[in-house]
Amino acid sequence: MTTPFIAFCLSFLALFLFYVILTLALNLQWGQAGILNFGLVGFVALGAYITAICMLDPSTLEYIDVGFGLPFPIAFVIAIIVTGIIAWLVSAIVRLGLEELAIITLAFAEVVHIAISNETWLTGGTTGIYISSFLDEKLGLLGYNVVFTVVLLVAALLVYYFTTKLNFSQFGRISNAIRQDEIKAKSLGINTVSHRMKVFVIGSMIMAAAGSLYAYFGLRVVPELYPVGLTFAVWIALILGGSGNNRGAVLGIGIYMLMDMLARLYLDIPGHPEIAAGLKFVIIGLLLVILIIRRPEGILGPKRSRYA
Amino acid sequence: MHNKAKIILQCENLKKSFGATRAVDGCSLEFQEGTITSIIGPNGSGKTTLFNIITGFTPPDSGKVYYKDKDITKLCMKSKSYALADLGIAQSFQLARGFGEMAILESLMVPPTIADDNSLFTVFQLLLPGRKETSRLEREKKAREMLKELGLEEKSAEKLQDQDVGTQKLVELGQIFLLGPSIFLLDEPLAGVSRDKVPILLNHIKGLREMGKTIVMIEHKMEPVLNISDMIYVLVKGKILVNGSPDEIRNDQRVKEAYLGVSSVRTE
Repeated sequence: MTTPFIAFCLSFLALFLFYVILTLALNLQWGQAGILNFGLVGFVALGAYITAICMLDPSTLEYIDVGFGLPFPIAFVIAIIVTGIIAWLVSAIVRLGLEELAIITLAFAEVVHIAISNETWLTGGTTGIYISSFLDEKLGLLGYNVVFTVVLLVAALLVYYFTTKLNFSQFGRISNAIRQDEIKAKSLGINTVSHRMKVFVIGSMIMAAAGSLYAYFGLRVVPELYPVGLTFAVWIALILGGSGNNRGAVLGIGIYMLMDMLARLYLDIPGHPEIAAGLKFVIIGLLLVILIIRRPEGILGPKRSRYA
Repeated sequence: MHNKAKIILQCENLKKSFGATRAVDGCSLEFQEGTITSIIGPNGSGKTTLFNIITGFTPPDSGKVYYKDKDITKLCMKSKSYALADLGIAQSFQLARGFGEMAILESLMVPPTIADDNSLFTVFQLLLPGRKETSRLEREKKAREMLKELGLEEKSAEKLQDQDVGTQKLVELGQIFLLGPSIFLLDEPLAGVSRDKVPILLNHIKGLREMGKTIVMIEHKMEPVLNISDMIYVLVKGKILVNGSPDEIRNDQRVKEAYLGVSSVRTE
């Protein structure tokens, strides 16, 4: 096997792991607590762009005025914290009424997208920001992809461990209770709004972390890396695999990406690349419809607690 | 007979309208500690609305609520139902509400019985490897004791939604008991409960009174109400028609006409 092929496989694996983290974060919010977050990609983009801006040395790019030249670890932490604060503000505005939040997050992601596309002084507009990594300079193509994949693997395992532990703890039990019957949860002395805000913020911070890592290893941030479609790819994957089940989340995104790749490889009609892209969604849509009718709880079904 | 008992909860001139409907129209009630007070009245007379005001689910238009001589109207106004539960006012619902997908045991683990281990700080501590959730076993133990108390031990792993109404109401009673409240507001605890489960529920409610808890109850089944209540309020069209001991209510002509229907009341 040639080095570029292995490098390609590794980068595909890295992309998969990136999606795994996002699906796990969404499972924390939607699967366990019933929070509709339709603006997932906005939080990912925020994490990525804050990292890029923190790391950028403004003297290297003439069309951007702001940059701090910080090393990646610091930029990573700042990205997570700032996104957490923004997520908290977003949820505080609507005090987390579920329907309101669904609309607000959708709008939020759109605002983020428009902002990063147009605020050239800060984000480089459609050209984006290039990130320079010392790893890129020292390691070859293969070595770089190995490091990239291993880091994302560790991150995905950590997120899996953390979200599973969280879901099966009292914190997750309360999320689960609120999702099932908010009024009852309130009557039992649970501050449901504050709890949901915590879940929303934690989930959004995980999304930002994934965005930050992926941007650093991808060496570039551009608006088209963060389309609305990303949000719904993750949603489809979670519903496919089983909401409220971390294993289902991983399985779902695996199936989604496999189908995505197979569609690219085999549905390709020479001269008409757009057919493959369209057919892919037709097939995924069809599969989803069949699944919702036959098995609405997803392939694996929920596993929200250790007791049931 | 309970003259010396302390008034624990007091409502003063509560009013609540929904559009042109005056659901609660100037109600003043007093509840004595350690007694069972029942609120009866025809459908739509405002009983549940009155409950929801006291538990902070429906903010009143005007009026005051005092709990242990403390003005808690503000909490009611701001719909801080969870804060009221913390204070010691707990509510069960007309249609039993629980967390149907949970095992019965786990649904009894939801009430925050153990000092809050729900803060963001504790949550992030879970990230540390090998960190155990120590409170879980303690919580589970309390839930198991409660199940035993309710006589539902063998059903601990069954889902709540698969149970009959009587069992669901028992679990609900257990859940709010675990909160350790001083006042139990029970909205039709016997509605939909099969005949064989009624005495079990009534025994638990009487047991609560023996423990010194205060019970306020809305109920339609007349016999149990007249049997176990210490005081009865009759609510008609959002107003209190009359209040008194079960015997007084039984013999009150206005009540017979307004609510019970003259012929249905046996005079003993």
